[in-house]
Amino acid sequence: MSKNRQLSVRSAGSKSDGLLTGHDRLQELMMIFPALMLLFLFLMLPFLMSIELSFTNQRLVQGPVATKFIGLRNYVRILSDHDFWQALWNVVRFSLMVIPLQCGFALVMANFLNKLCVMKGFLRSLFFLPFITPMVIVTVIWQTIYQYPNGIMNSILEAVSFGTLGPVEWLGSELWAMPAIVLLSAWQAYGFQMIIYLGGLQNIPNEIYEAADIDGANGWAQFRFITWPSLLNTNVLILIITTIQALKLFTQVNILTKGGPNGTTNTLVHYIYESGFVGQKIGYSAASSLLLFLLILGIFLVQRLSLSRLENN
Amino acid sequence: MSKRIFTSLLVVLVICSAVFAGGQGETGPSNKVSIMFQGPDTEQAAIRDSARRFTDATSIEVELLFTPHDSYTEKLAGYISAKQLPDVIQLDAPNLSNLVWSGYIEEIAPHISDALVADMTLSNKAQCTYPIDGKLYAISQIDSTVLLYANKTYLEKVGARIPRSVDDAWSVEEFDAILAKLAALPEVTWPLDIMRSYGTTGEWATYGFSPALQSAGGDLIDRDNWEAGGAVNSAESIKAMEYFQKWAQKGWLVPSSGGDNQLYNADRAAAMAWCGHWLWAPASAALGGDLVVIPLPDFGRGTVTPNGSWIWSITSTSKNKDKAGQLIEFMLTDEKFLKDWAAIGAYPALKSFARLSPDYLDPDKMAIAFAQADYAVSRPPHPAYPTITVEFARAFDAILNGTDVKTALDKAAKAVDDDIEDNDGYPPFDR
Amino acid sequence: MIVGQRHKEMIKAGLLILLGLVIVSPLVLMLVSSLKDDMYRIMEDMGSIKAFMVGDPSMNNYREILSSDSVQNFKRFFMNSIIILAGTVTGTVIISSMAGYTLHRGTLKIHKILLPLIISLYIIPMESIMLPLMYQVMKWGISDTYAVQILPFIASPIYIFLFYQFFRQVPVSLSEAAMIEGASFWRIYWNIFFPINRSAVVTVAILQGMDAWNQYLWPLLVTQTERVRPMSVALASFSGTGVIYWDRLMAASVVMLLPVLVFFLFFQKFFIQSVASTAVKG
Repeated sequence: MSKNRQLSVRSAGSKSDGLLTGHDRLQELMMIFPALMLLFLFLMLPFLMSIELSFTNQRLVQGPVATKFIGLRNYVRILSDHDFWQALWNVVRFSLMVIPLQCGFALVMANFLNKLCVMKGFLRSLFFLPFITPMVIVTVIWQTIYQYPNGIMNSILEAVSFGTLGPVEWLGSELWAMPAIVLLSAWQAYGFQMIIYLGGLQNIPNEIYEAADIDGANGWAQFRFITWPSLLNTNVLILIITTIQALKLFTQVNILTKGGPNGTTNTLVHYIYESGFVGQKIGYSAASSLLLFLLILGIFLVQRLSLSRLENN
Repeated sequence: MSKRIFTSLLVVLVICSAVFAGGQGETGPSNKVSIMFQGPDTEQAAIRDSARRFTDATSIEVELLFTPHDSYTEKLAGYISAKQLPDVIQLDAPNLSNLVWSGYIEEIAPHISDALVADMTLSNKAQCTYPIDGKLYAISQIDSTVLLYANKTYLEKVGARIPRSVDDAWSVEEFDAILAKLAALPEVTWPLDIMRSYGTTGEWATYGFSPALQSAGGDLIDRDNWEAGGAVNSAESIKAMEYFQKWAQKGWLVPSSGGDNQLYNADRAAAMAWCGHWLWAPASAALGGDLVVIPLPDFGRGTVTPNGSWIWSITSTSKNKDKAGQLIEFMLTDEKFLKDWAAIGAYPALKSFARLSPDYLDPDKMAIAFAQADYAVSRPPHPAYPTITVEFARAFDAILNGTDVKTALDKAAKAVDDDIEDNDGYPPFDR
Repeated sequence: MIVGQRHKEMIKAGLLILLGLVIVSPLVLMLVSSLKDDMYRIMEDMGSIKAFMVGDPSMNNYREILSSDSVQNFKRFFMNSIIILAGTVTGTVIISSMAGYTLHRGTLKIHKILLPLIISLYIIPMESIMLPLMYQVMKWGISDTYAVQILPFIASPIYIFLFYQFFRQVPVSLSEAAMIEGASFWRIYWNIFFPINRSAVVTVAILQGMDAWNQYLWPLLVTQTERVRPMSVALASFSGTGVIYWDRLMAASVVMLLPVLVFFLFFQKFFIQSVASTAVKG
């Protein structure tokens, strides 16, 4: 419905292009200039520097041996490193698990909180609390929850299974470490998606729901036929953002598992961080950064292309 | 309304920035000396207090640059690249070679008194010496060691003998047998805690367990030709690491999410702990006379213990080297400063300091720990140390998780040798 | 509402509260632990239901960290965090929304490549540019200031993109009308788009606010002394090598959380906008 309007504005716009003064053009430039300037200085420039470094053997602490250009050697080493591919697989695994969990829960909560009539403010704040907790604190708390053998998670497990399932070493087991991180990440971050969904839900006029109520449609039907389709743009946005966020997983892994056990929770950003900050090999680290960037870019383009087809239908 | 709020926030910001945002602070010769350090609250307090007393005594201001431990190396690298190194820096002993080789720290003996140099213990001198020229580039009041702590009750139950001196230490076979017997005790969940909760992919792995390699006859790297291949993956090294793998696979080690106090908490689920000297304070507080301290086991060629702690150096780019020397001299002879460190159970590296730490001279307490200083082998003083430690730690962690020992150690050896090759052998270490 | 509906609402709210409490139980854990004076007791209680109970609550931990002779100058850190928060949120809302608007309604040809460019910038993880950026800011001489902790974040690709997306959903008839009346580019933005998209502004303010408040690694790298250091870095001092001072860490965490809670409560009021307030009906 709004598509037609947009088309008409485009044509209206081009007709009134002649009405846009040089004054307007100037304003346009001035409005986007600060952002561009800052993005260039603080994002692009260091990134370009990083690319340059990726072709050298630069170390963290500059020494008497001059940094030299070594071409693609870093890249070759990375691509033949088993740890790198494991990290790649891990973030893919993580994304596949966390996206449905986190976004699904966020959508459900946003839906409930949107239609609430009583105690709106309090409940919204309540459910948003995990997100405002700094990751450092989140990891500390969840570390104790996952403690083996008598952390809270294990106590719950034993209670729920009536003692049949023994305590699990959550963060130390190759099978469960990643799911454990998925759970705590979803817990911490679902607030982000929930807020965006809330914003998107606000844009759906109440009258439509009221009309549906009168027509006798129940909650589920309303969700399926009103809410979900109207959230198309929001969903696309959320999917893209969450995917990129998931592929950049780092802090939890860095604090809780350091990529272990046996590399089952190693992520690409952690790989980058380890080789740079810990192993002190800046050139190598920069090369893996670039590879990560290309990977995410690729996934993003694929997502964008397939989803924009959806959007335009 | 929101517009007004944002506008007022903006105004507040502008005012605050004008008021608070300062520049760097002056550099160059002035009556100031800057010192960079890390550490928990207690250590910070000791340093700050001593700095205050220094200022009172000499009217030289001290700029205190505290950096949390986790990002210390990066901060240092930042200062270096911006050519704004402070005057005095604290560094972790194994990184000494790296910084001297890179040209950032000075020989320290010319700036401090001979008496202070003479006060250093042998292990202290070892941790502060650059192997190429044998000169001192740093000094410290603290050192460290790692040893075995045991719950006497459990040991008595399995009939284990208690070594009386470092030479009397258990052989690794004896140690292995004791662990097996401890595992059979119903009240013991884990015979040994090797502090996996500290994380075994970091410095703790290298610091705490490379001595086992050295005790078996291997090493992280050959200290004559500086090659890792043939050292970290030698037969002796493999044999040492196989013990750790066995203990892990048998479930005898406290897991990483088991916390760090299984030896002395209410459950006392761990019978022994392989940990640094710092465990003494909490463990003895909880266990009292039930705690006994035992030297590290002998893996074949005699007990080897680690050493090294945070040491003080003067930077080569400093414009206040004499003041820097004064500050260091003052702090390390400041009795209150040393007493503060003694109170937190620090391991003395100065003879004068040892006299203020009665626990370390008491044979029923930590005397064995102090005696271990004579058996200490420093971590390899080589500029490639950052790579050496990362690779060994990774291998150690993999080994605990069941990876084939030889494969893991081979991988570490190759990574280190590759790094050395990348840097042309770090001349003059390549002779 | 009729009685039956009100009951349904109350039950729904009740269930939600229950769910909410389960969700925030880890935070309750933190609050309760902060009232326990002995750090070893905190560690012991962790495994059982005792983690949620405190027999003899004491404010000692708070007193310790907030007292003026504590090693960490908490009040200073707190002020710093507030200043950085205010600066970052204000800057982001203004600069990113301007950019988002310009991308949406601008007519320059360059916008076609700007949008994908900005989105691809979002992909770059902070950790991979941190070191080169740190070197850069030290060379420019702006390290250890408030500015250096604010500027890198106010033109954030994600928030520019968010604004762009939200602006796209505004009914175009609004700006059409304004354009016909001869309003300039800026006017349409400042007087129409910006105020109408309150939910977008609030969303970004909250999200960026959280980000800014919890920034840890970057302030760690670029601040030298406690002069402009924020609270998140102070928390790091409570875990030494291997040892975690639980008692003070928990109390410090609570202190760090409270303002955020207040900030959020204040802003989320603006969420409650009835769509009837838009000038033109859907």
